[in-house]
Amino acid sequence: MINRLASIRPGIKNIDDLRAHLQIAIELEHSTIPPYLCALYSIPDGMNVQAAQVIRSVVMEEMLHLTLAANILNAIGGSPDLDNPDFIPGYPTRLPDSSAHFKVHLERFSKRAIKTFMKLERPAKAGAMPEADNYQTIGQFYAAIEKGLKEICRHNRHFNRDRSIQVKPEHYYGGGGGVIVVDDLDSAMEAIKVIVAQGEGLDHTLFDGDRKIFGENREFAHYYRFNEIRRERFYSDHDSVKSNPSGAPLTVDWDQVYPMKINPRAADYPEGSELRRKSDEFNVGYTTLLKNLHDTFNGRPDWMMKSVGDMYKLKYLAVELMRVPCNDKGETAGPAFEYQKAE
Amino acid sequence: MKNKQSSVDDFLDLSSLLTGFDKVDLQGTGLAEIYRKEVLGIIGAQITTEIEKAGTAIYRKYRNREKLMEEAVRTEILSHAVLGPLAKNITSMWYLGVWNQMPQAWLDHVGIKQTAPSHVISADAYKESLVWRVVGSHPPGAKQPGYGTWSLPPKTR
Amino acid sequence: MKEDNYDVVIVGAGIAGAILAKELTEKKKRVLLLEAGKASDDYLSYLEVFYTALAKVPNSPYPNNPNAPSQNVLNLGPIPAGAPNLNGYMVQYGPVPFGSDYTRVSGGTTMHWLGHSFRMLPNDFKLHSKYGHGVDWPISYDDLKPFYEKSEWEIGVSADVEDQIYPGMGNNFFGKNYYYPMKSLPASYLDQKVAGGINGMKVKLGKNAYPLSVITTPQGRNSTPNKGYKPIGASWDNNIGQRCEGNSNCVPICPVQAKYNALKTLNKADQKYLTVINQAVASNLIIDPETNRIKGVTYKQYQSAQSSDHTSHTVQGKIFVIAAHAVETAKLLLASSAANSSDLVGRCLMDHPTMLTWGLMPEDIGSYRGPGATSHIPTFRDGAFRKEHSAFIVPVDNWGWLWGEFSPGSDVTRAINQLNLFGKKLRGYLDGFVSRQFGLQFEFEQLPQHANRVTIDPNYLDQLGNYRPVVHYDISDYTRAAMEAAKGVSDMIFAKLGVEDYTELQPRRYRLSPMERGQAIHSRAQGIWSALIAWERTNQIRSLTKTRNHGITKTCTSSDRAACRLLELPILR
Ligand SMILES: Cc1cc2nc3c(=O)[nH]c(=O)nc-3n(C[C@H](O)[C@H](O)[C@H](O)COP(=O)(O)OP(=O)(O)OC[C@H]3O[C@@H](n4cnc5c(N)ncnc54)[C@H](O)[C@@H]3O)c2cc1C
Ligand code: SF4
Repeated sequence: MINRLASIRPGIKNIDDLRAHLQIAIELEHSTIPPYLCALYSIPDGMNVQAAQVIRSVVMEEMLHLTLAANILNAIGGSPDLDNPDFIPGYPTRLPDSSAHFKVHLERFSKRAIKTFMKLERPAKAGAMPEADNYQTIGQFYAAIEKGLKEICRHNRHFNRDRSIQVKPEHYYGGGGGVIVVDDLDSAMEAIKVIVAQGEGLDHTLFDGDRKIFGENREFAHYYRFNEIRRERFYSDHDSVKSNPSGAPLTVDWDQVYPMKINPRAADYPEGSELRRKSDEFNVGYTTLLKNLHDTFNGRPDWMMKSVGDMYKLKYLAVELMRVPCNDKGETAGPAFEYQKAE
Repeated sequence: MKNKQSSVDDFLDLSSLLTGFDKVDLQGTGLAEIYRKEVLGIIGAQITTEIEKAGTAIYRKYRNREKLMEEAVRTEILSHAVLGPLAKNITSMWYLGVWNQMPQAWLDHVGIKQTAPSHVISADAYKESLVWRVVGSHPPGAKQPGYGTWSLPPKTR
Repeated sequence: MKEDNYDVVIVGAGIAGAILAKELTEKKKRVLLLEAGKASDDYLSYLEVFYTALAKVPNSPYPNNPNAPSQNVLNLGPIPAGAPNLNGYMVQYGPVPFGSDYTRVSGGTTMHWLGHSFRMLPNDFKLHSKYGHGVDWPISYDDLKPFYEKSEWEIGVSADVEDQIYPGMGNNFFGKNYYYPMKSLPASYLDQKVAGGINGMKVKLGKNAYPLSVITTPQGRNSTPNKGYKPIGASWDNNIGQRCEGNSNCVPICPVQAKYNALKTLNKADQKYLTVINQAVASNLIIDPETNRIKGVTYKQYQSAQSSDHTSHTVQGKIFVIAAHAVETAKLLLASSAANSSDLVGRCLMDHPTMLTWGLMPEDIGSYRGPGATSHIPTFRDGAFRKEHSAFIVPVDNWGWLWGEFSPGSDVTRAINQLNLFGKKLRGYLDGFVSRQFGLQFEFEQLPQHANRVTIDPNYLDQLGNYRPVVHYDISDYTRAAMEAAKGVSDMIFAKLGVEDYTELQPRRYRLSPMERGQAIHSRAQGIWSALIAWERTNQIRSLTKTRNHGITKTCTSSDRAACRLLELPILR
């Protein structure tokens, strides 16, 4: 990924820049998913139910964002590229193309992990400038894309209006709202608005705008949902963006977690060992998922169904890995999320 | 501590022979210690240790030499009056998540008066039962494969 | 809001009671709902109970509640001559055991229904004039049609109108612009194989040849929504269950609530106008001697299922609806000597007797994946053969031999204990054997027979002192003849597909299976897969208003019931 970014000229000045940055958007949305999944899957079935529910809802929305970014890119004549070794960041990683000084790890559910998630989802300060590169918050990055779209695609220029390549609500479900088919500037704006609102909050409120946009029940934006876990309390009606949650307690048992080692890699285990075989199996499955998603976003939206099956399979494999002891510190193995083609 | 570790490992050796699954896959169910405790609780330490020792010896000696291994298991465990029925029960525990009550003849033979009736060991035991993995499906009501997956061709071999 | 005079008092929070509660409260009627079972907040704990149940029969997840008992199919067994079988909740005189059950918890029997949502065919309403059997209904298919549509949208049925082609459906079966709320669920891989093999194949019944077709089954579980419908997922997290997730467990419990259950409807009722009392078993209807109308209901309220301690209460209302399930409704009417001048209450008890046939497909068909059945053969739902024997419908089973042999548990046990397999060979054997398992279900129409009935007897009471259902039940020659014919159909299909037949052919075994197989369950309950398909669809009395007019008798599905009920209640029109 790093290599590819180096070849991109900073800023969004023409349609190629815009497409390149939407590809970054896809990579950006994707890069947060493995860390969220590690935290989620490290919570055993039936434990920390509320926390798990929050993380699950966030991951599902990230997948929605990824899909929306792909729909926008497809709408303006680009081709999303997911089936590529550079697509997956090596963890620990910085956010693609950002100036953020923190790194994201693959790690089990913990206070530290939640703090990182909050940094990831941190809302832009009111009045922050759009930043296409070296952005500090994801909101700034999308503001730059929004600006680029408005300028470069004015009067619906560059939109191909090819609905057959768009992922539609019938292909995709769940995740606090539906997929938006993008075929003009308005629908592209709508899609961006969903991404930003769910992540950071709409108009600097606690809420994620789902109700405004989809008519769902009111939900908090990601940042605030994570803050509830971190503070072990729900927001109450009196709380604002500035305060910490002061409502009913949200019970978290930080110890009810599979003791997955941080940033697991297949190469941690000797070639030919059973654990290596299992770790490889996960990586190959993950790579297959990316390939299926790649095809989904490149003309086969109906293949989304395959990807759903892949995701469930990966979940069960990840949890199995997290139960296998891997060192004498009492830690267990975990999913490595590395690019590895089937032999 | 050290002792406990090594005997779970023996139990895994034995279980791997009996189930045909790699140890890492059995560990992946998270049930090895739970199943071992179950056996210890119902059968007692003496016979449990005996079957584990027999299993681990064969596992170490013949691992990856299928034919010899099968012969050794049949000779030393399956056809053994005490170990045979227990081995079968351990196998079906892994495959179904169920402990079957030991047959009366066996109980009489080893002199156990009271024993646990058949039961599902736990919700997790049900969810991890190996038979579903073998057939490329999932236990009904758990580990769902996702919308529409039933319309795709079965597992690719 | 507890009052003593309600617009409508409903007994029973099943699909019938829930739909009424929703419709009535939406029209600002004050409704009291009395429910014998526990409240609905235990859904996830039902699931835990299910996981650890040795015999995963339809009622296994739900609380064993001696204060509001229900039949458990594990208690089925042969009936000794001259004496009833008293093993279960039902007092069974037979001669054939009534093999069905129902669920007495909030949400009722839809908690463990399969969700197949068929409409009846036009000729079902004129069986007598058309084929000389049974009775004609006083209403026609067209009368019911708008209510079918309404129920399908309430249940959330997934199907594509253009796939739904049945014999004798006429040319305006679905309204012109009608569509189901959700698209059809994808047909399973094995459905596709079966359809590929037998579509168009001609099968002879009597003098006529019938071309077989395999079509997708309309069902109350979430798939891709059509315009104007929003799927409802799990009550605890709407991110779950927005689509059927392929849990393959619709009976006894859908872990993600992708399958419809009546709680979804109940949640939609306007709670301002609804009062629900749980653990309240209606035991008597109070009749005003002057007007001969019901004026109150007495119910027994208990605190814990473990103790028979209870208090008795009476509530008043303007209209009473007894929606306690066919068997319990009849019992309550009989116990109160209500509405029975016709002597029809409790009579014409029905089921859809089921015959299973099973065998091995020549190749891996990926059995045990997906909802119970995604396709069926509609060919024998109607035709000239109904002069000789009853109609039947044939779901193509996605769950292999689960219900025929309690597979794959029984296969594992046999492979280990009898075949002496272990290790890699055990794996290989099971893989090759189980993933090819294939089965058909033949579900038969039963005619109204007066002798098939629910009665009460003061000698048989439950823990609270309420009557247990006393059941007389048999299967007529008209239906048995259909079973014979169906076995022939199965043989031909198996031959065409190259299926190796494993169906047990002891005389009478397959004919009444699985009802007569109750015994087998006991001995095999060791395997955890023992489940039994056997459900009830009796429908003799639906509410007091109806009974007074005529005792309509007909096999009814849930959507029929919902539709019937909407039709009946004048207050809604
Ligand atoms: C295993 C199985 C699978 C099925 N599959 C299908 C299918 O695929 N398609 C289909 O159409 N049908 C199916 N059915 C049938 C269908 O589920 C029932 O016909 C339908 O749910 C009945 O609805 P109901 O509201 O009349 O009764 P119920 O759902 O049984 O509700 C009655 C309610 O009344 C309560 N109650 C009972 N007695 C009293 C009392 N004295 N006082 C207060 N409350 C009381 C009960 O607790 C219960 O909640 C199936 C049935 C079974 C058993
Ligand atoms: S297949 Fe599974 S998810 Fe779908 S309805 Fe049945 S139990 Fe629910």
